[in-house]
Amino acid sequence: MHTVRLPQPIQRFVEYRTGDAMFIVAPDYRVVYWDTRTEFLTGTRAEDVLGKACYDVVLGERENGETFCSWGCSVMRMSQEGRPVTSYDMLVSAPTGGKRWVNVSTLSVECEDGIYLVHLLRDAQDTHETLEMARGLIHLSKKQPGGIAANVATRSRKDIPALTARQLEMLKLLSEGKSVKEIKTSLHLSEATVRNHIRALLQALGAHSQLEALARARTLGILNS
Amino acid sequence: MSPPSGVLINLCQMIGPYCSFEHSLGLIPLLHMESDEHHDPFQDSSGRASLTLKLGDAPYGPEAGHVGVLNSLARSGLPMPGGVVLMEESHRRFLKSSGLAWDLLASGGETEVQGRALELRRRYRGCALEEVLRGVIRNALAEIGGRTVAVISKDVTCMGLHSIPRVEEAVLRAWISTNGLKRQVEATIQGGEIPLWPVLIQRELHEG
Repeated sequence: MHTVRLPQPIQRFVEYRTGDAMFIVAPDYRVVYWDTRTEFLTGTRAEDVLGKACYDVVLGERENGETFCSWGCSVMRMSQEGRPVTSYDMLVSAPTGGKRWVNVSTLSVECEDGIYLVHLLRDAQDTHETLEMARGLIHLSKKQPGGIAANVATRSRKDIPALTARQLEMLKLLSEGKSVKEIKTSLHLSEATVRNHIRALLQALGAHSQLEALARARTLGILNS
Repeated sequence: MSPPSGVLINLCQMIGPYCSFEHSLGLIPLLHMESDEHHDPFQDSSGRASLTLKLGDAPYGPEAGHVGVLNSLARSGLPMPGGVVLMEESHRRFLKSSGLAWDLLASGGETEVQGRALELRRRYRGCALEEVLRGVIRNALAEIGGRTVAVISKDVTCMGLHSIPRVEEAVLRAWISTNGLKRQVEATIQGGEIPLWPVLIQRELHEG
């Protein structure tokens, strides 16, 4: 995978097993390791990033669109000062061309030529989508006193199935009359994936058809009547 | 326990041929809709014409075919699966928004009714319904609820429809059925009014 020669302590990290995606940055900010999971998560191949400055390839952003990755970034600075870096979320480029939330843990490893940063990445898109959806619902409930949240609030929580952010998204698109093909195109997913999400949605709502799922969602107050 | 809609549909089919129902807007109103900016095409003499009415509330009797029969049965209090009738106003709106009205008007010089009807059917088979009509259908489905619905018109019956796009397709089929288009082309050739017809979206009953 990597073509860059790694110092001995770093080489050990590469040999450790982890379910997370991993990339490693040298003290001069060059990317020296980029594994297949990171390739999958970001859609960027190792051969395109090795040897380049991490801030030029990761292009991490904060929620408000501000640049997170830059020369002299807080992560490198804290590591060089010997301070621990707690895990954080940032937006990175996604294979579909947009941005995707990832959660990052950073390990600082002291080597002869300086501090190497081992970054462990895990997908955090679902968590952020759920948060986003919750914010949307709160916003909507503030705008419409008799809207979604009011309806939901009148029911016991256990009556309402816990839908994932993706299922809620599917529900909204289905209620707009979108077909599987239209959903597939708008979300850049495969048809099989869309069908799987819809099947899971139907199962969660105990429905046998899309129309029944929409009716149930309305009854439960998940969708506005 | 309400009888399943399939039973009712079969009942309609047993009733057999029905009188032609051509309560329609004529050529002149259709043209007028487009030419007069201040004219509301959905305003009739009795006030604002509805795009939909609940099954049983629509002013149709057996002369309106299957839809009229089911509407009469609902009106008389027979327990029936719920439904919403897309009124002739919806059909008129479709004719105008899709451009079919103008193609029908251009059929005046035609002599071969069947051929012209088939040609129009081919041309409009894949057309998308305008957003207002799609909204009307979505609202109707929200009101009806249920697992699947049937779409019923004078010429078309589609059953077991389980998603909004399928229902939209079926409504389109009802509006561009070959028989329906033949009636419309014929009326245009004879210089008469373009016939419009109601379409019913009705809930289907399921065991359990």
